Amino acid sequence: MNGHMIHCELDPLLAALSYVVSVLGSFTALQLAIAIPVAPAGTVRTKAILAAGAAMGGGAIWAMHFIAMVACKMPMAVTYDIGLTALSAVIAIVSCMAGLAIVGNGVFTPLKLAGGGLLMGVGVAGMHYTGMAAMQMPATIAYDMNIVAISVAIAVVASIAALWLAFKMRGTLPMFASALIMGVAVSGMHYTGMEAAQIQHDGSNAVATGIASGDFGLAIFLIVALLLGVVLMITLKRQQQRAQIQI
Amino acid sequence: MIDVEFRITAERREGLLLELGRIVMNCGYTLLRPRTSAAGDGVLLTLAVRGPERNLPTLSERLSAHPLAQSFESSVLGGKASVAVPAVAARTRQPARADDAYRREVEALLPELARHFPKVLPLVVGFEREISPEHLEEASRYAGTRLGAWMFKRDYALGARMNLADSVRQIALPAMRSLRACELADGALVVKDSPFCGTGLHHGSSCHFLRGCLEGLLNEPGHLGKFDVEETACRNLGAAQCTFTFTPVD
Repeated sequence: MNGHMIHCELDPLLAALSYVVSVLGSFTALQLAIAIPVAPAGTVRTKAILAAGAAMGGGAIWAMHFIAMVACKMPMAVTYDIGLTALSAVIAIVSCMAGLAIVGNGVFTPLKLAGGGLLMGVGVAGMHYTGMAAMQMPATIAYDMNIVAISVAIAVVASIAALWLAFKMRGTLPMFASALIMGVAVSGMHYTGMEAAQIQHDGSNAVATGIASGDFGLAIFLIVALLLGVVLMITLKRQQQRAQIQI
Repeated sequence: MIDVEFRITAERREGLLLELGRIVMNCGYTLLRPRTSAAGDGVLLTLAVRGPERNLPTLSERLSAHPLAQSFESSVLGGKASVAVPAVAARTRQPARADDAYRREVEALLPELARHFPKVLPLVVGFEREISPEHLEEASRYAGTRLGAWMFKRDYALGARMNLADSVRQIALPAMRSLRACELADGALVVKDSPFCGTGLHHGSSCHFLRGCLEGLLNEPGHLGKFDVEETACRNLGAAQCTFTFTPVD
């Protein structure tokens, strides 16, 4: 056992589900985010940034990552360190808030787009690799740094494209396109990052003591249900506001 | 930060606070105390607001130019005394003139435009046939401005605040396409078959309604400053197509 490489066997259904969740989270977040530029400065704008960042970081990125980890079947028990797992969520949420705040503040410029996309892309990558570091198992992980660099580049470039579509184009179709691209940013980064990981059994009989991946089920279900609820609420509220606008 | 009180009279109360409150917030101000009271045949709206001093001229201009506002006064609230605001901020508009009667006809048209949107151009052509020739340009342009502002608020308000070129491409162009086929050429917007041309109602350029729509779409966001739209070529004057350009107002 000692020293042999361990390969992740991917459950295609769960892998597809992880992409769907990243798209749903992105759609919700971007719906919230497009209200940031028109929100009055102060509490209202801050709330819009917090909500959009939480949906993007917690829904699109964090929940996607852990569904994808459940989809990755390995021939050993894997649990997750609770502190690092929480930190990975914080990294995703805070970097998304910062990125969306930059893009949504004042007049939209290519520089702001690049800054916001960079922060969000790095946030996606930061969440992923912190989440990987939270893994507790009788194995060590080494990374192919070239593939790691590619995974970060995918996250940054796709985040910039998604933000450009969401903030500049008006209408539902561009918003769907933006969410699909953001889903590519998150999922593409994740699965490329997994390709970079070389997991090697270290021969120990370490007993995993953290949270088991199956325990994420409830948390992920709650996040997805919340995202769906928020989408529904935003849609209804905006329809109502639109109908009330007088000529 | 500066505290200012605006006193605005209007013919009607409906929608007044909502529309002016939105302008206040778009200019970065916070609404402190709105009060409405009867004033003659209309209503007096007193708005106490707080916000950045640099935006005060813009806010005053936009409030005083609002179609519902008949008269407009403002004063800075500094300590116990009120101080008159100089220049544009203290401008008092002239009371409604007889010439403004066309606005009432436009007000009657607007709900029809909203009801039939986006198939509104035949209605506007019909409206132009009924309005007196001396007010035709002004009335048609004003109706367009109101429709443009309405389209912006309904469908284009959410999203990034963009510069003029991007606003024309991402907002004005798709909005105008919902009314009539058009495209961009060298930063200008081109309409190939405006229904306002060749009606026999106009001696010069004829697409005042489309000009107004573009002005409403571009001026409603507020952050760009104010733009005039000019029709630099018109089929009614023999051009192959109608061309609209955008000029900032100082």
